Amino acid sequence: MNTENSDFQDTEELDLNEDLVAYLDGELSRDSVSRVEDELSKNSEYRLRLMQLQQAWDLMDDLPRVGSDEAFTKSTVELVVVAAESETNATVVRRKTWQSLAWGIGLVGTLAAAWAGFLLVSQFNDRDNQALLKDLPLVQEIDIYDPIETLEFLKQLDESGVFDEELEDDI
Amino acid sequence: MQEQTVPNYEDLDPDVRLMLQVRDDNAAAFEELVTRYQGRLLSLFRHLIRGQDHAEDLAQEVFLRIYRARKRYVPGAKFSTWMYKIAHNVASNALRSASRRREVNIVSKSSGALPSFSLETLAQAASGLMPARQIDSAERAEMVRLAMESLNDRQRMALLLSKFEGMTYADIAEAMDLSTPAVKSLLSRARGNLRDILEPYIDKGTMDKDVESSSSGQEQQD
Repeated sequence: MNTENSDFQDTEELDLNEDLVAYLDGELSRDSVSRVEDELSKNSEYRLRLMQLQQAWDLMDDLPRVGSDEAFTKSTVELVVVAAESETNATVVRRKTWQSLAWGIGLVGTLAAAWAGFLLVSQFNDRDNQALLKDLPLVQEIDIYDPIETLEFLKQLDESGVFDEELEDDI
Repeated sequence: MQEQTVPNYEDLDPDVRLMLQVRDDNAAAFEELVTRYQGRLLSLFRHLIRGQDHAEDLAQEVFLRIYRARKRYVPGAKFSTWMYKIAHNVASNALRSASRRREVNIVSKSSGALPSFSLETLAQAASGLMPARQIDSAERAEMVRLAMESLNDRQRMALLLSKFEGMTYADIAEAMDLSTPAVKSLLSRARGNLRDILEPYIDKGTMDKDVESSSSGQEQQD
């Protein structure tokens, strides 16, 4: 229970201290300002703390400050100019790399397309050749088949078994 | 729920207008920004990180990052807030590297006497063990510098932005990637710690005249 009370007091004290600093920084809402000022009016320790915080804050004014320096401006601008140049160079190199890459891809694409076209054409040619090859026996015997005027007659001969007899004779 | 209007920073902040000119590759505008902000950035880095050269390198790094980010720049905050956000990132990286180097040094030298010496000196001076005399401004500055060094990096950054840049809690929160209540808490702890460290120094009477003049507007204590 005591611990709880102590925790509560610590939290409350922490809040008050935070508010005290925020009060000095002008970061408090109107309600909080009233609360802090109320506490200040009745709590001497709180007033002392406020004064010490302000004194420590004012001591910071003794820290040295740096003014404007032309040499620093010059060297900074030069540094940036160098950076800008290297940035530009890098952009040019990057652009050239991309251009080369695009040319390369275009060339490879063209070659691939040419190769695909060649394969396609060869496939068609092969198909014609294969058809010719398939018809070669017919072509070779064209003189025999030529007098036969219709396909119907040829079918009739086949059905009559003339070709079978020839086959048996061959065997 | 109330609708919040987004401020038009281009109209409100002349430095935003300059930055927009930098975005359009106006070199003179960039030079003007460097002139306006170099002192503030150098001061910030000198109080954050030891070494003048290092501070200059870091300030230049900030300007370089600003330049490199120019084409993506969109005025979503005051220019100074945006710039201090970059400065905070640069400082955080530098402090992380410095801390890693220090770790290596500690291991290699097996020495633990790092910042304690400074604080001991401070405490000695504050407790009156040093000869009683009026402390001049340079010594006072050194005292405050040592006191500042005893704060952690985030407390120091928030304190410097608040003190020297007059930034609001909201702006500090934006620059340091924190919430506004977190900044309130951070600054409260920072100023509390600074007060605790400087308390004996303030109370010893060496600062009586300054204290009286600076607190003339305050209520007198019981």
